[in-house]
Amino acid sequence: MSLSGKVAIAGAFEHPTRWAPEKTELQIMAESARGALADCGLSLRDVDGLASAGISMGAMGIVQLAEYLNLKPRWLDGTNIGGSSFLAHVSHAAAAVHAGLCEVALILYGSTAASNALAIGTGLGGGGRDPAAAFVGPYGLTTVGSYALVARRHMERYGTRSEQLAEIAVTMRRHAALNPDAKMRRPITVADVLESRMISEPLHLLDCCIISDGGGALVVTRAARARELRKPPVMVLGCGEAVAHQELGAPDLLTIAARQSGAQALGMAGVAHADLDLCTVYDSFTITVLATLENLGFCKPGEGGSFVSGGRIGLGGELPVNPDGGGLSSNHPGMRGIFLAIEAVRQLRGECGPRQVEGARLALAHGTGGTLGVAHSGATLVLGRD
Amino acid sequence: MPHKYASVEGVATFVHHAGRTTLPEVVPDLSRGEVVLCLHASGGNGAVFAELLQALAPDHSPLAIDFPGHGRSGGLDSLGSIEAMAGFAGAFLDKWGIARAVVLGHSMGGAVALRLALERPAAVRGLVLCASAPRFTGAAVPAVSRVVEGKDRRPFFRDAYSPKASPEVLRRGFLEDLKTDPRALLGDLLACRAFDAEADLARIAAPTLVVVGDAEEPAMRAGSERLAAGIRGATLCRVAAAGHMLPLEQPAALAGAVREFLGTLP
Repeated sequence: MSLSGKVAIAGAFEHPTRWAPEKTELQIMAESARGALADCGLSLRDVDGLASAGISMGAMGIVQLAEYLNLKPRWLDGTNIGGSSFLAHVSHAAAAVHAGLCEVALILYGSTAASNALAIGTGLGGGGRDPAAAFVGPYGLTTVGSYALVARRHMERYGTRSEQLAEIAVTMRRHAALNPDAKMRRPITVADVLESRMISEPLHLLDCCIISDGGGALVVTRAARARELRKPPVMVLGCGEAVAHQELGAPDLLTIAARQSGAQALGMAGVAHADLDLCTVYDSFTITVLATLENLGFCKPGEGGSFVSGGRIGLGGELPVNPDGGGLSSNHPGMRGIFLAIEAVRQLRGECGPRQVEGARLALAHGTGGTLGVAHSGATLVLGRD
Repeated sequence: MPHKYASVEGVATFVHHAGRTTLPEVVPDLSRGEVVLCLHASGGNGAVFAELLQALAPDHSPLAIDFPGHGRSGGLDSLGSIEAMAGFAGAFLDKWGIARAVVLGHSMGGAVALRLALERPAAVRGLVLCASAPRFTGAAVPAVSRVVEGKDRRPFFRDAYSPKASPEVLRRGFLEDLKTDPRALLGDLLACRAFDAEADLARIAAPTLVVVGDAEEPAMRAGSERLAAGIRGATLCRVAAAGHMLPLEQPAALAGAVREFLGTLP
């Protein structure tokens, strides 16, 4: 009965734009949809399922999106659990396709976060009506402030150093230099990160992701259908979702949602950590990567600092992470989950040119939604070649 | 102000204009008086000319563009050289079918206007060089480099305004600065530093008006004076209570001088 291997991602497209003041979010989504459908050789007429989430999408956003695209889907998913939403959409779409609720599901994201000057990291995390925001927000905790608390806690408990976090930013920039679409491509050093101005101690400017415009699209369908399409299918082998929250006032800042969703996805896929050829993880801040890799089980709690050092997570290393340059250097239009799946798909198809992970067969994508340190979500996918 | 996008050299280019709104790809009416193309300063955008465009609109067809990487135009970085910017401005004129225009440049925009007049004299009916110079010092390069490297906050250049500038003017200038990535500002400053037209001034044939504020910093003021002295027949207009951001600080005085200049064109 398991979903594993029954459903595939058949089309994927990352919008090349990083700055698009002349476009609306809906335009970016429509262009991305066209890109992903062309990628697999389908057309909008084939689409009967639609999923999306966005920062500025209202309660009926998915309905408005369907109207904009002139679509009449028979399956809809407007789940919004933050930046991880799109990985959750893939698992929801896989279940829907497997159950026959739809045949071809289109997952979309588009945003003009940069040209609208959205202050994502320095704004308050979460909505004003939930208890965390209502009781924490008035005291001034920002999104970056909460991640800084997680980083500080990791340093206090395990002796993790700023240099180790900086290695993550340096690695992402090195990857971005190989990605012609990346927003920030000039190489940086650990010293550059440590000398960049402090945003929220211990996180420096270069420990924080960039803000860009952009968007992307994924097409999910049955494995058998996907095999008949233009590109080699990428199988959905495992998926998992989770939340982590304040635990009635006694949270452990270092245990994040990835622990639960990652274990579920890997268990479902029947895959061990050592089998994975690459990983795409949410990198809103350098600490996000470190905490995620630990919680996914790539190393033990507290070992993250040394795990990310010495080139292990760089191209050519043991576990290349975010070969596209991630949100720290390539693109981060407010929510980044969809790009984690897109890059994993393109790597598994071997389409990535100079940043290709040689012979990649299995990849894990993990998205974080919301804010580490307060309530957040996690969604994990294990993807593999047919 | 009305505005629209034009695709120039593959970049979605934001155009401020004063005509009626038109459908995409349809050029607005440019038949009144002279076409006046305004080019902004380093790290700026065409919105600083809003009052000027409004004041000229009844009798003329004024336009301003945001260079790539600036304001509301596409692109992430500066074009990187004054030559490339002049080429871009020329490509915009071609795209909109404008055979001849009066070109008004503020600071870096003045350098671009000069370069355009040298490269394509037939396209430039007149020049207005506002708070500009034939050569720039590049004094801001080190400070902006530090911003781009992430080591400093983005500075607000208060010295670019007259001491008499009102808080509203400063606030508007600050908000316009924010529309452009500091990397594009740095690229502009480097382009300005590499620019030198001192030896070319005598070759400018277009009627020229040079406008400079009385609170302009000394090097730039001397540069404006050299422009007026070096370009045949150029007139120099001094504006009171204005620093380097003259178009924002004294738009009415600038508009008055420009209208008068347009009236003298043969």
